[in-house]
Amino acid sequence: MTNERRDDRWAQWLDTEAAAAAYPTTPDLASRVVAAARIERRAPRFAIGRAPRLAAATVVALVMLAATIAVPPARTAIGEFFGLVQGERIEVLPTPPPDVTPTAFPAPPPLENLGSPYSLEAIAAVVGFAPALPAGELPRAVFLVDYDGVAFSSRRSRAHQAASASRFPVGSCSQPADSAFVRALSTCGATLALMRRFAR
Amino acid sequence: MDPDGAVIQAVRNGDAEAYAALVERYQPVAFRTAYLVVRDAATAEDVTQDGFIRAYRQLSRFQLGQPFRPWLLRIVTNLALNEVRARGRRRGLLGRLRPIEEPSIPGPARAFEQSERQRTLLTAIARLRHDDQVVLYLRHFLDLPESEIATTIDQQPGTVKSRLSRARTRLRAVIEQDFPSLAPTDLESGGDQ
Repeated sequence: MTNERRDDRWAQWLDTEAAAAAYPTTPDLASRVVAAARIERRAPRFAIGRAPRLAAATVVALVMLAATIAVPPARTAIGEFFGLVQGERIEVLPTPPPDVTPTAFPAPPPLENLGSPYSLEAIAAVVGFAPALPAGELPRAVFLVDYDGVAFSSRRSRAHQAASASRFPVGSCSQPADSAFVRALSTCGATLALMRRFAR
Repeated sequence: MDPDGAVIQAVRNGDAEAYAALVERYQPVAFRTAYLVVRDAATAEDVTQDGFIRAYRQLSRFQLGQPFRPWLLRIVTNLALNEVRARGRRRGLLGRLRPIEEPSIPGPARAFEQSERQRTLLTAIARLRHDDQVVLYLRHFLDLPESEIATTIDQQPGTVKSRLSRARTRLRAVIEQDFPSLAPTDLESGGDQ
């Protein structure tokens, strides 16, 4: 017997068996369903009056979200939380007097609140040396910041590289950058920090 | 316009009472569909009622001119399968491994005469995957044409025949292995040729 013939025979057999099947008595649902339908008609699932409140709540939530994203530190924090921004902060602190033990420097406010982005070249011109960077890594952002008389360098984006550095007070530094960058800066008399921020 | 279409149009125009005509016309097939899937009369009643109410809510999306029965049965079938899955989760791992063998709650299902042969056949079908079960119920127990089966299970009409054939093949394997006394006597058992 071929597969098709066998399947036809099983289909016939199933038809016969199913035709003899007994079922519980069908309940009369019409009155119950229509009663529910009347209620639905009078009070739709999204009743008038509830919809405007829902819309208002949605608008408020969206405005709050937009306001949060509009603030750079918050945006950065959110980006870092979700792993969208990967960064590293290097701070060169004032050289302490010989009789003072260095202590942890308080974390500075977010750079975006303190200064504006500049090109790496502009930063180098202002501070008088080319900041040393890890091989093969270009920072995503460079900021020049007035931070307690601090020259602060970092790079942000190509779109912000043309700005002038002249309107920011910057500590002078005559030491050229080299592999001993940190040590050189810390001995030049200025408090200076470099922030590197890399996109993933 | 077909009779269903006229009723549906009336319901859409705000005549909720007109919906009773659709309920009365299709509650037998809807209830049997639900019963075959959930295998418990009380649960099937709840599922059928819920199915009609959901269909009422979604009636504005129903395409006039199309048959109402498979559209309704799709809603009822999905609700019934959801119930079976929820029951399986409640039963835990064992329930998930062996979907419905017996009604979970003794109810009216036991009050009507069901032959030993029918119970065995339904038990064998319950060993199959849910989509195999549904397609066999719709075709052989509810006698739906393949075009309506396609709408009910949301598949192309051309695939129904092959799905039915595969479901019957799997049922045959279950019967020959676990319920050999049920197999038709004029068919030899064994593998396909």
